[in-house]
Amino acid sequence: MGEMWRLEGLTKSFGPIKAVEDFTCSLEEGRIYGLVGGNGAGKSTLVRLVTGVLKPDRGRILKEGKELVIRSPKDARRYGIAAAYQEFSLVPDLPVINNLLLNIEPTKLGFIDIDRMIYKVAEFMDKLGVNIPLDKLVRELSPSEKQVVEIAKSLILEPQLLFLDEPTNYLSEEQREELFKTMIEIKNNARTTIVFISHRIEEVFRVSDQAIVLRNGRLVDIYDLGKVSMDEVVKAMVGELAEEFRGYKYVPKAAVEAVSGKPVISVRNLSVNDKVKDVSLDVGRGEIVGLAGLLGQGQSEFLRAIYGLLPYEGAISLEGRDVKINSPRDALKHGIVYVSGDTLEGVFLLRSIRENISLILNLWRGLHKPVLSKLEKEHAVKMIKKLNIACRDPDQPVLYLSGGNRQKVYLARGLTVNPKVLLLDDPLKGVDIRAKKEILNIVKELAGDKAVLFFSSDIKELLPIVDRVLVFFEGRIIREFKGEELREDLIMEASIKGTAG
Amino acid sequence: MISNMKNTKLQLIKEYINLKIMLTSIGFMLGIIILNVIVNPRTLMYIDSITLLAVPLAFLGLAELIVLVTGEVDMSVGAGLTLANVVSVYAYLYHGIGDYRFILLHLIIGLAVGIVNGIIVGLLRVNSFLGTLATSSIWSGLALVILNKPEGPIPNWYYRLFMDGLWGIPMVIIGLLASLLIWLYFRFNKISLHFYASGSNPYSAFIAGINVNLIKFIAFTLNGLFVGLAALFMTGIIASGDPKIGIPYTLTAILAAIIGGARFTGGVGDGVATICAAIGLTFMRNLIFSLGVPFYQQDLVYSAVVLGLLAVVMYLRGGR
Repeated sequence: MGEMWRLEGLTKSFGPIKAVEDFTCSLEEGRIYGLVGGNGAGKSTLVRLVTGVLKPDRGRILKEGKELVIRSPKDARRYGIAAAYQEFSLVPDLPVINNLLLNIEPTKLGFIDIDRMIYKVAEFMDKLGVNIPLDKLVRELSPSEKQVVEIAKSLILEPQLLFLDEPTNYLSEEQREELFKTMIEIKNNARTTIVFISHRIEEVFRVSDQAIVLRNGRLVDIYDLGKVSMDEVVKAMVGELAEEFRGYKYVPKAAVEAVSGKPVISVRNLSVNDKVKDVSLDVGRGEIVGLAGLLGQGQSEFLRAIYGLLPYEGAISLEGRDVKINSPRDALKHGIVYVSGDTLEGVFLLRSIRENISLILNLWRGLHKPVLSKLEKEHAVKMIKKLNIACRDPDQPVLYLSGGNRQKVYLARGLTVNPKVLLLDDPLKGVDIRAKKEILNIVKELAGDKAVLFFSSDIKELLPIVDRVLVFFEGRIIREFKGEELREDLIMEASIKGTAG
Repeated sequence: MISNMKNTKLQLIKEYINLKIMLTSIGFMLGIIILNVIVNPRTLMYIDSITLLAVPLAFLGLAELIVLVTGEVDMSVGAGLTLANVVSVYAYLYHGIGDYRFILLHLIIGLAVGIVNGIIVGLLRVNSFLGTLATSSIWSGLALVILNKPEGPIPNWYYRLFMDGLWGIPMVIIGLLASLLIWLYFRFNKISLHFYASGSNPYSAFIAGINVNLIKFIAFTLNGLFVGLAALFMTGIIASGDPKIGIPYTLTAILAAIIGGARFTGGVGDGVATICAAIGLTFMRNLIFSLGVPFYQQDLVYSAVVLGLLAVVMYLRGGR
């Protein structure tokens, strides 16, 4: 046995954010490693560094002691490295078979050798026990079929190092069992090294020999799963309670005390495709409700559905009145505002701060009437002062602002209509520490007469201002935290363990 | 299992030749031809010479298609054709290059034009719409500098080729057959899959180890070859060098590729369907002439019909 692969000092930054820092570890052949960590721990980035999709800032990758030169996915493939990606790497306009054999098509005199192609894939799919028509275009497949093709696509390369990034997301119970059987089979027979990522921690324990724990882009430790309990690994993922929150004591807010019977917004059995399942909640006046959980558990979809960006099933009522929201325009009419952390989606980079903030000021004024530029300017200046947006003047294009200030402009626009319900979808993710604090303060101040739903991928940031925290897992709310329970470690633990906890 | 595999093979080949779009396009072509014959039965007598006019458009359509498949667009095919035509005729008239090099020159200019576009789009990463619109103006300008008015003649043997055919086979047959064979050669070649993959999802293609920028460069190079072939036939048809001949062809070539299933987002489109669409569009021009539209209004009517067709095709596809 012995060391087969070695990752040495891998480091990758995106702007000021260190996604992976000084990651060193050795991988043996014929083993399955579970790669685990909370939001933003750097799991997917690590996969992309090894498969040549991203270039590391520093560090090297060795195979049997020899350094590999990986400049592109093509090189990684040559060294026997393959991956099934979380967001898929399929070509929608080609048939399944050509996706599986993309760039390894068998040829005869340069022509596609269709017979050999079908023979190879049919046999392979038979062995996997998969039954998907090979001539079907990938764009016509269901999400679970796409997931199967994505996995099969990585397996058909017969890799020596295989990454499976959340491969079980869209799979049924039986398909999952089938996948685990296959993983164990290729680990034993082909001596493949498998790195397995899943948000379902119990799956990681079932199939992995060891768990590699990442936190904030750094390796915490590697655990032999025969020897440690699930709780110990989860503890390692959560880490110590952050210094600044250790002394944090929950203080009931006066405003919330005043919340009386009637909620501002009440959601009943809301479902969005497969992403959100039967979610019900009430938010009272002045209440700030934090949404937590691992990324991609339906939090964003939930908020976007309420804002009319996604079609939903279920009922939404505002102050006791049932409403149907089909578009953002409907939502705005009812006083619901949505601000996401994706400023590229939210602001018009080339337009001025004034225009960005005042865009919905005159939403109902009619298209033929002239823009009231004086009013716009007054309003913009007021908001710039209120949110402390650092800029030269209101007519400066948003392009020249920092990420934090762009986010504030986006928020300022939302506040223009003085909303009853404020939906915040991870608005702090690309923002520097100072702007984070300021935005949190603004939300806290403004919450007085509003209902706020605030999703953050880093829940500890929210703790000082929220009244309750709801943990999402696979589209459902699985736990509610309030009062003394509002502690980062408890919430993280619940997020990671999910329904297994 | 065996019968299953046979069935899969059949389905795959159907997918590769894009049967549905091909049949639609053949329907479009036959419909227009029949309409032509109904309006003016004498069309039947000239059916070969009208179809010959479709050959340059068929090649230009393929040139456009091959680039559209990779997710780019070429606004310069008409101008590229003009340049190849003008340079070759100029070389014959003023430098006496009238042997086989006359043919070679068309292809070389076509290739050169394609390679320049390929460098601009594939390697320098300039937006293809802007980049090729700019080169289009350059080729047209250059053509005007070389010949500022239509000039002739062309080498006699080449002229006779289009009168008598090659070994008795009419040039229209040779042209259509050549375009068809070149397309099928490409379509069943491994590289075509990489073209479609690069246009359909460049990121996935990159992850599969495909050099997407190189694919785009190759696409424009092949596009240039098709432009050269188109020019070869155009020169034979008009028997002269004309610095204004190609410009209106760009839009029509794009339309032919769109009727052939291409989209501006890349990843789809069929060559056989494009060739049929080119024939259909040429007969449409003839139909407008047959309907007695005055000469100076023909461009207007034809362009309006082309625009209308484009809108209809886009609308029909919008539902998907």
